[in-house]
Formats: sequence, C-alpha cells, structure tokens
Amino acid sequence: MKRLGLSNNAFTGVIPIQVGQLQGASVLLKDNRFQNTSNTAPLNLCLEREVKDFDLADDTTLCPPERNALSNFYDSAKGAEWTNGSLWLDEYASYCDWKGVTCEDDMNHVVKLNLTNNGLSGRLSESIGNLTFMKELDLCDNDIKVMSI
Amino acid sequence: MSNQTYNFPFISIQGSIPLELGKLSNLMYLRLSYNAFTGAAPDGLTEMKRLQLLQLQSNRITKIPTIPRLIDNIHGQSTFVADCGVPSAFDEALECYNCTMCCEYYSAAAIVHFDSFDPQLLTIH
Repeated sequence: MKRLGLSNNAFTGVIPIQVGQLQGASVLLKDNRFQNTSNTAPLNLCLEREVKDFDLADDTTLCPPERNALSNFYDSAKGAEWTNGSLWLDEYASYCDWKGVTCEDDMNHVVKLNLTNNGLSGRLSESIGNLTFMKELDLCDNDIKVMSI
Repeated sequence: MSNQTYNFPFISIQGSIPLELGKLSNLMYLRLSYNAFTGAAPDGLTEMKRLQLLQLQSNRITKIPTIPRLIDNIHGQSTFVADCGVPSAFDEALECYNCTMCCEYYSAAAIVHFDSFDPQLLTIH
C-alpha cells in the first residue's frame, strides 16, 4: 500500500498498531476524532519508522514530542541491551510509565530520568535537549563490565 | 581444548556530552558519573540557571566550563566533580587541565565540596 487516506471522517478510538507497519505508505488521518481522548497514536507510526509519512506526526496529543525524544535516547543508548527497559518503546503505554521516567502529575512532562546502573552504552542522544522540563538527569554507574565469550 | 578468547568489553555510555544538554534550563541535578564520556563538557552547562548538583567523575572529560554559581551555592549542596576516568578502563593518560580530582590521587568515589576546594591541591598538570 502506498497511501492510506482516511481523512475527513469520524474515526475515533485507538489507531491500530498495524497502521504504523504499512511499509513505505503515506498515512493520512487528519480531521477525524482521534484527538477527542487522551489516547496516543502507536509509537512506531509517530516515529515514521516504517511508514513514509504520517500527516498527524506533529500532533502533540497523538505523538507527544517527549515520547519521541525518549525513543531516540533509548536507541542511542542501546536500550535493547539495558538491564531493565520495562515498557520502553511500548506502542501505547504512557512514556511516564517507562522504567526510570518520572512525569509531572498533570501535564505529562518528563521531570526526571533515572537510569543508574542499568547497562546503558552507546551515546547520549542530542534529543535529550528536547526534554526541556527535566529537573533531574541521573545516568551514573553504567560502566559495568560483563564477560562474554 | 579451545581457542576461545575471553573478552571483557567495557559497557558504558561513550562519546561526548551533547551540546543540546545546555537547553535543559530547568535542570537542577545532573549526574553522569561512572561512564565513559569523552571530550569537553559543553559550555552550555553554564547557562543552566537552576543547576545545583553536577557530578561528572570517572569519565574522560578533558575540559569543564567554570560555573561560578555552583561555587557560590548558598545551600552548600553543590558538588562539582570531574576527573580523569577510571585508570583501569583506559590505556593512555589523559591531559586534563581543570580536573577537580584524579584517580591516581583521590578515590573516585570521593566528593569534592567547593567549600573546601583548593585548585592547587586538586589540579594536575
């Protein structure tokens, strides 16, 4: 599929994960009722990793910019290898519930990121600079040594 | 008998501390100690008006901007710690002009309070 055009309808509820998996497709969902709830769009769709583009990628309700920033941070720091990466990059779970992330109560702004002693490697992503509400960043004690054969 | 090689790879966050960190104007506590960060710490750290605590020890950071506000911290909580990295983790010595401590002389876990900071004592050339 090259184009999924569902604009100007009355679709509501949750955007299915499969929409984000349409390889190379343009996904057009503007002017529906997805924003009527606090549901976010699937992370993969927001990051436009498999689709070519998504016309609501800049919608801050559906695709919170802080979730995108944390996702980039995860990839740069080799999140798949962390000791505990619970809920990170989950398609729907709030990023405020991702391991080590603390948000303000009401606005879902990330105020604390604590991933000490959690097997982080790689690099610290420049996207960290987009988490502008952050008060506390604690990434110490990740210089662990592991034995491999 | 096998010819297997046993590696002890160094797992850690590497590379430089990104300049973009300086955009975090609300940041109060920044702890990046015990990793493998290299290069100069960004000058943007001086723009963080609310920063109270900065811990960078046990990395390979070669230059740290002067942050007078941390020195004058009225609560006496500020720690500004940086050194030359864990010697066992890196082969070559590091030229560090304003490290506040070095592992050869001080425990990496030590925390230097600016109350008692003596640059002549703690700077190596």
